[in-house]
Amino acid sequence: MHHETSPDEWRSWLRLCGPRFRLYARQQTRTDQDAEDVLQEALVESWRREGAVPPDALVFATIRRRAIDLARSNESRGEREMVAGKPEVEWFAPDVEERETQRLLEDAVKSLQPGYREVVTLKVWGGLTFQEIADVTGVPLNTAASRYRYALEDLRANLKGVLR
Amino acid sequence: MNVRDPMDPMDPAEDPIADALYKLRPAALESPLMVRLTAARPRGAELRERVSWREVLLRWLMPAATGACAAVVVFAILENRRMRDVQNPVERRGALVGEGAMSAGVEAGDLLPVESADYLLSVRPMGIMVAPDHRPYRIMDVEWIEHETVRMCADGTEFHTATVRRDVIPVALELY
Repeated sequence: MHHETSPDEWRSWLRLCGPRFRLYARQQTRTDQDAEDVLQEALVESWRREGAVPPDALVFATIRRRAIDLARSNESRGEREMVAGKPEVEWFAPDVEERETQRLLEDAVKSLQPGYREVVTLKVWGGLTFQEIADVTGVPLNTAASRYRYALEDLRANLKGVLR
Repeated sequence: MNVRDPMDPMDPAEDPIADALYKLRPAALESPLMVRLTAARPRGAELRERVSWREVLLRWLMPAATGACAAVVVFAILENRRMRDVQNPVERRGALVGEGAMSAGVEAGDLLPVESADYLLSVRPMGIMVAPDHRPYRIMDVEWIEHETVRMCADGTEFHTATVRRDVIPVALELY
């Protein structure tokens, strides 16, 4: 059943879940601006569809679909101009104590194949099960699990000596 | 968030890479984005969209569909009757008379006129007279025969009647 979204409820949900949704949206789009557009549309659409707090898997799936739609739309009318001079939004909250390690880890995550990175993001920061990841990304369950395993292996190889 | 998935090959706590990944926290939403998203909060009316579709379905589409079905049935019945009428026109005409009579409150034993026609038999001048307005009129004796066909409501039996009618009519004369 649906109920009226109170401003507090909406704000709390945004504060709690917004960062991981935005992280995924950022990975699915070319620019921060696109990510914000996709994020807003997906959050509102998911909430409307569910009539209440939507399950995370639904929001991730909606973000993914919206990002694909936007990419197709951008392709059809030419590339969207990049915003010059605007610093890229950080993917992760800065860790003061292990800033260097975090930077290396973030770079390693960014350098993963998109398919691997998507699974890692949904698994680690999205909190989804492999079954949910398979549903969101449209790949078989075993493929989702394999991609996660390969991603960890790639990260392990790239970060050899960095992490104890 | 750090819940063990049955498909997960390893416990994050046992894998330094997975452990490091889980320690990373996605960056918080910046204030401008937070303000923008807060303003985009779906309102009650928007949330009711899904329900309103159900209401539209119940209030409009279902009655419309029912009406359409009824129209199709009525059309089929009328078409069926029309086809029967085409195949057997005489029988059908009789039935229609009977139905019309019944709906008009006519008893089954009553006679209903079906067809009537007047035929002119003769016209005979009787004379000329002057009216009070000093205009001359020729008086004509006109004889008609009225043929009438009636049908019994009960069994559709037809009867023919012929009645002679005489009219005496003045015909104005023009003087030159």
